Amino acid sequence: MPSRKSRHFNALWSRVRGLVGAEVTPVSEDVALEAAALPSYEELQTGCAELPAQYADLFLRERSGPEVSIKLQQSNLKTLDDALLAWLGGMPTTLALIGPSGSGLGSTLAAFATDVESRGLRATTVVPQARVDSAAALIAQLVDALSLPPAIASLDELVDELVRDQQRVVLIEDAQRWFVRRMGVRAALATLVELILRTRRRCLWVVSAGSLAWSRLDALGGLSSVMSEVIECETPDADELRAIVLTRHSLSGLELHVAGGPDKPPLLPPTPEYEKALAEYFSKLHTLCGGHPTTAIYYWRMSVEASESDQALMLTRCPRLVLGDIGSIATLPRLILAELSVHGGLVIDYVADIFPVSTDEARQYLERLRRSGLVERDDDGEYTLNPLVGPHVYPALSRAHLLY
Amino acid sequence: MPDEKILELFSVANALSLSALLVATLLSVTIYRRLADFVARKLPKWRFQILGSVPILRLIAWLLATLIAVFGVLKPPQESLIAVAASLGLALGLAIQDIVKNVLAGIVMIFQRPLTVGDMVSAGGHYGEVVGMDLMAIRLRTFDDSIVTIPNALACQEALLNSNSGSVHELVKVEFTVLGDVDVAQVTRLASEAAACSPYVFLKSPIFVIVEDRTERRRATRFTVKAYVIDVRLERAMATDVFTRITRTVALPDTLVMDVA
Repeated sequence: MPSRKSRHFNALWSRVRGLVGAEVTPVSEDVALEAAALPSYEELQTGCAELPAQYADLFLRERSGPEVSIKLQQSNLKTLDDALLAWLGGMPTTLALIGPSGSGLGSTLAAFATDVESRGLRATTVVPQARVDSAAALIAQLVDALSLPPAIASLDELVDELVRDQQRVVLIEDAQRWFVRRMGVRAALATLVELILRTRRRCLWVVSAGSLAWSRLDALGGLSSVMSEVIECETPDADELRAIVLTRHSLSGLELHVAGGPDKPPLLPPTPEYEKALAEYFSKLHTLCGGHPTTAIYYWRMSVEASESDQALMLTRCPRLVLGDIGSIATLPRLILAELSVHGGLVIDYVADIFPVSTDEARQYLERLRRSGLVERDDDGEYTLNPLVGPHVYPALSRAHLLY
Repeated sequence: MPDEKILELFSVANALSLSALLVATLLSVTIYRRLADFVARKLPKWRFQILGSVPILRLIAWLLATLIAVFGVLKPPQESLIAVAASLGLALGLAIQDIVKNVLAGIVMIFQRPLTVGDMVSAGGHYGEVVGMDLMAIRLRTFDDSIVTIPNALACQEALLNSNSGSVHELVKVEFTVLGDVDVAQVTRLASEAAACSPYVFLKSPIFVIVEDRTERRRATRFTVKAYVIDVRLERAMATDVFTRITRTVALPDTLVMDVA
C-alpha cells in the first residue's frame, strides 16, 4: 500500500526535479496502483467504454495475438528440432523445457507439436488434469491422455504398450501441475522417471515446467538426470514486448499518440521525442510486468485512452504497482505464497495438507492473501498467485529464502 | 610545570571536545547498527554478513575514539601517560581482570569469528540465535524467547557449538524411536518423504535417514532424519512439522519418542 511517507517523498521528488529544471516526460508520471485495488480483466474490459469496441476486443486476455518473432523462442525451437532429428536417428532423447510464467512454454510446445506433425509424426500433448500422489494415479492420467487402452494399470503394461505402439512425441505441459508436495509424490515422480528411461527410444518426451517448480521436482525426483537437455526459456525483453503490444495495436488501424503533458500538444510519430517517450514507456512496462505478455497487455489497456481524433488513441502513462512489504507478512502466509508460486495453484485441501493446518485455517490464510490482491481464486476454488503482482512477489520471496 | 599540564587535561575545552567525541562515536555506532538492522531485514539472505560487521565496526570506532581522545584531545605529557598506563595496568591486573578477560575474549571472537550475529549456537548451556555480540558478552535468544547473556570469556573457555556457521540453512535432526518390530526400509522411506513434504525443508540439500538398533529390554529402532531447514529461524518449526508428518504416516504416536537435536 502506498504509505503517506512514500507519497510525500514522490511529491517532494517531483518538486525537486521541477526546481532543477529536469525534463519530466509525460509517460513517466506514474499512477500508483494498489494490488488489492487492481481491477480484473473483465472489469477493465467494461471500464474502457470510451475505447472503440473492436480495440478492447483486441486486448482480451483469452485472445491470442498475432505472431511476433521472439529470438529466444526461435532458438529453442531450433534446439527442439535438432533433438527431434537426433531421436529419429536412433539416439534416446528426452528434453525439459523450463521457464518462468510468460516465457512462452505453452506456445513453444504448440509450435513444436505442429512441426512434429508436419513431418508425419504423432505428437500428443499431455495436460495434467489433477494432482497425482501415487504411481497408479499418474499412470491413469497418462493412459487417458495418450488414448491408450484403459485396462492398462501398471507401469510395465504402460511401457509395453508404448514400446509396441508407433513412435510418438509426448509433450507434457506444466508438469508441476501434477506434483504437489505431499506424501506419495516421490513414487509418482519415480514412475515418470522410469517410464521415460524405459521408453525414450520409442517416445520423445518433452517435459515443460515452471523454473521454480523444476528445481523442486529435480530435488524430489531427480528429473534432470534423465534429460538429454534442459532448455531454459525467458520472458520477452522490452523490445520484444513492445513488438507484441504494438503489433496487436496495429490491427486496430488506429494511430498511437503519446500525451505531451498538461497544456502541451500530444507527441506524434515519427519524432525523436515520440520514440523516446515510447521507449521509456515500454522499459517501465517491462519492469512492471516482468516481461509477461498477458500482464503487459493488461497494463497497456490501463495506459491508453480515447483521443480527440477518431483515428488515434492516446498513450498516457505507465501505471506503478504499490505492494505492501511482503517481508512483513507472517511466516506461514508467506510460505503459502511461496508454495502457490511453485505449484502454480492450489485448492484449500492441498494447502491444508502441505502446511499442515485445518481447512478453515487454510481458507482464512488464502482469503486474507486474496483480499490483499496477492492471490486470486478461480471458479474451481483453486488459488493462484495473482500474475499481475508475480514479478514483484517472486524477488521478495527469494530474498527471504522461501523460493530457491 | 607538570601540575599545570595535568590541570589542562581537565579544561572546559577538553571536556567539551571529549563530550563531542563521545556523542559522535555513539551516534556513528548507533546509526550503523540501525542501518545494518534495516538492510538485514530487507536482505535476509545476507543478514549474517551485514550484522556480523556491527561488532567489528563498533570495536574499530571505539578504538579510534580512544586514540583521538588520548593523542588528539588530551595530549598528556609522556610521564603522565606512563604513570596512568602503569596505574591502569595494576588496576586491570587486580580489580577488573574479569572484564579484561571478557574484552580480550571478545576481541578474539570478533576476529576469529567462531560465530556471528544470526547463528544458532549452543554456549554456556544455552541454545539459541545470536542476536548480539560485543566486547563483553554474546546475547542469545532462546526458543523460549528469553535473552541469555553469556560472557565472552565463558564462551571462549567452553566448547561452542555453531549449527550453521553463517549459513542461512542449517542441518536439523529429528530423532524418533519405534518400539517393537518394524519394517526398517519402509519407515526410512516414509520418514524421508515426510521430511521432503515439509515446506520448511530446503530441498536442494539431501535428506538422510540414519537407523540404529537401540534394543535393550525391548526391541527398539532409532531413526534420525537429517534435513536442512530453509532458514535457521524456522528450525524448531521444521522439527515439529517433520515429526508431525512422521507420526501421521509412519507409526502410532505412542510408539514414537521424539528428540530434536
